[in-house]
Amino acid sequence: MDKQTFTATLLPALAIVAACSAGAAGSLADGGSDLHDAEPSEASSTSNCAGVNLPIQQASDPSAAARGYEQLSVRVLGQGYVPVQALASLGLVSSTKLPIVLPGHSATESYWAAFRARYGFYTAPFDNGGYPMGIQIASNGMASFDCLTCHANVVAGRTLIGVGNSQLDLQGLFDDLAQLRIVAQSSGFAVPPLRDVSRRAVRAIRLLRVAHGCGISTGAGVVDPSLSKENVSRRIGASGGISHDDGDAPRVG
Amino acid sequence: MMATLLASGEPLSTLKSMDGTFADLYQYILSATPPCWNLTAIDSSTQHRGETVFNASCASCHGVHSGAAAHFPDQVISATSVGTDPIRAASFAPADAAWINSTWFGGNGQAPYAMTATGGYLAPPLAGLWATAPYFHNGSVPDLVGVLDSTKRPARWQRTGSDSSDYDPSTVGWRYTTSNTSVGNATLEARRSFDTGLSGLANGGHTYADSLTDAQRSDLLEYLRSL
Repeated sequence: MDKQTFTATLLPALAIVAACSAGAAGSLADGGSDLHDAEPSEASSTSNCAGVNLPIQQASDPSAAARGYEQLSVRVLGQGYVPVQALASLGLVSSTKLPIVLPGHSATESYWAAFRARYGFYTAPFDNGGYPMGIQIASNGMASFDCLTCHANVVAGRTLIGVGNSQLDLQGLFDDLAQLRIVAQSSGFAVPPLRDVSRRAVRAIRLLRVAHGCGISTGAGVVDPSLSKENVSRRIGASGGISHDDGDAPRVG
Repeated sequence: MMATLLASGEPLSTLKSMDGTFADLYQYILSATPPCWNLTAIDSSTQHRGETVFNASCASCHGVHSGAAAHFPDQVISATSVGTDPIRAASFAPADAAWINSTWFGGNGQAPYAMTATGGYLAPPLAGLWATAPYFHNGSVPDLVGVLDSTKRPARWQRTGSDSSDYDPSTVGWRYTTSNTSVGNATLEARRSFDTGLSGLANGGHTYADSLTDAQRSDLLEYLRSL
């Protein structure tokens, strides 16, 4: 697949929206939609839209495409790393203004609605166990953020997989999770260990911000000069594997 | 996608074992078609006039989207030439490409996975354009009216609605309010306001349609809805 083929085939389906959290203008996410433009479609040489007849779409393997959609919608890539209870306990951080979920109770739909609104998530147009689209529970029982966290949007009532989520603020979510760790320690509320979560989250945000040229922030607007692109590269290493010399705690769960 | 999983702690061996899964995801992407405009009726005569404007003013970079001459030129335009915010283009330097290409993720430098630092932005095909607001690579322009007329781009703006219904078919983008005060981007609340004065978020450049008449821009807008 050469560069031309790659761009020509993928770009019609993918959004061209910036992913910088600093640029995630807008305030509130909605509750999803009834319309759902996501199921795999039959391969064709043209689009159905009135003004388009670009001969750029490649044929696809229908069975592989169906597996790909299943992977996007209901299967989890990799292991989760955020305790579900932590996601449901963000009301303990007063600035979030989210409802407080008492220990031993499950988060209600109203909690998740407030969660979606604060961080820019949407309701999944498929059964996602009540969690916002983009959050799934992995086999280790932990929450994982999947492709649809960033690569799905709701526009004028239509859920569009492949269109960038222009309201998402992952940095805000991870900042609040970091605050939750502090609040939990001081208040005596029992929330699962978050040390590993915050390390992984900060590292993911750091890499995303490098990738999108957004500058590097550790949250709360504090720029950490040690988090230079060179340092991030060094930590990942030429083999592509993340080194663990930065004191990672064992994976929770 | 693999890089994101790498960042969240999956080891390289796990990612390599997922290669087949990523091939399936690629096939799903190939099967996807752009969402078609269904918010207003497209006026065919206006659309056709707009297509003429588009093919004369926009197609050399974005491609001819219909008819016998339909093609996609697949052009990367230098950040200097297009004039949009250059930081993202500059952030992926030759050294970054060389680093990725030294790993399995860059195919160990072999095609088709080896990456190149271009110093520019791809002029994409515009099928499904209406759904991709806000516009430009950094999401700095909330609607197509602003894309086509640089004098109508807000310096600081915030979406107005409480849900996805704050989409405005007339401007082909998100409804917004403006502000004269910069609040920075340190907090989640502040980031709800898009401040084009902040690093990486400038909304200048891509002024190619500024020289069109209002009537031409209106025709062009209708054509862009139809893509």
